[in-house]
Amino acid sequence: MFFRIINRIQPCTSQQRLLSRSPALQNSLLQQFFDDEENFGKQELRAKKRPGRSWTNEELRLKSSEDLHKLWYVCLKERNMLLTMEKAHKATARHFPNPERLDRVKGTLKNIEEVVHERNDAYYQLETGDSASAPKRTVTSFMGFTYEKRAEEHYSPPGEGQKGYEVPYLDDDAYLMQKLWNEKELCKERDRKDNLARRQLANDEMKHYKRGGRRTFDRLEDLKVYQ
Amino acid sequence: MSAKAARLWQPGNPQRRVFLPDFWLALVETPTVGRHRIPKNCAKFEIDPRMSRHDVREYLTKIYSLPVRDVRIEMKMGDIEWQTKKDTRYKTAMWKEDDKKFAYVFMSKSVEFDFPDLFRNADELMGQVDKYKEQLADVEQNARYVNRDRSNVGKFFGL
Repeated sequence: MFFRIINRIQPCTSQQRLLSRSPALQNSLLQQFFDDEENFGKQELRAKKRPGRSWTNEELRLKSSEDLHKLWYVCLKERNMLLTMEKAHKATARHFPNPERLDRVKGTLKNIEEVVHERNDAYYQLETGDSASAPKRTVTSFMGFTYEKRAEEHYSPPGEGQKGYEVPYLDDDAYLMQKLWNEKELCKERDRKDNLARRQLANDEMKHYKRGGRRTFDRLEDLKVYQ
Repeated sequence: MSAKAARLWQPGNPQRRVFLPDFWLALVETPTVGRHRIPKNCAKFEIDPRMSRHDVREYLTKIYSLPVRDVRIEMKMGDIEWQTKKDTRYKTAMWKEDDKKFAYVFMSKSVEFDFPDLFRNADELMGQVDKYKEQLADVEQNARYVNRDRSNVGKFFGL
């Protein structure tokens, strides 16, 4: 398997955070959950302390799987640290400085997952001919909705009538349900368009005096929405 | 692979391994006085609702190398906003906050932990809003003049 290669590495500990400069947190094991003490109580971090952007897919593709594995844990710890700080700030009704840091880390984590999936997928395509992503099945529910469902593993094969399939022609109840559903959706869409048209026609004077707009339209061109 | 794709365990197979765990976990402050205070060697975490106590133990010992002795889990229901609070018979829920999961992690007796004072030398609260307005002024100015119609330009010239 592809992942057997990276099985041997232990998740790295972030050395930077262990070597804290502050005497208060130096002995504590839980210092990994806190930001650098220089940043405590700051409204905004200095420009050098801020992250620029998350790692892009193109950059991550150049890295080895071991490096990606290490980077994952670094980012995971960083995210936990930021979440801790964010919750501490929220609990005391304060503004969390530079909240975009969290977005950057989350973006990196997402990109790493994508790149690892790409590699895993390539391996599976080569070795087995199947995709690494979970297989999907098209299923029709009892109410007549047809949708894609992720296939799941089961300990035993399904019994009579347990497995769902796609149904091309719906029976009585499901058919009626779909008819009514479509009608309801159509009405919703019509009302939405009507409201939009009314809002577009309203001017400031009408709003100020709470006066209604025009109700009937002889020509379709008068309605802005349908143009 | 990750916590998102769990495979069923079959007898004889090796234990399930997670190479890229995507659980989150945050340290939470607890009161130092009153009946909600906790022992010195204990820490309270807010954890991902998918995590079990076994997951918390593995997470903290493997990733953070903490000397975990015991983990206790607490589930806290989110607040419900009722349409009519006083009406006990026919009240309907308007909104419910998400449930939260907390873990009380007991470490070996030698460990002592105090939640640090994060806002000891906090900047003055006064004039905070003006500061942010000042910071955002440039961004807003840029956003007003930015040309988003770049369908044919390509990626090379930036966002």
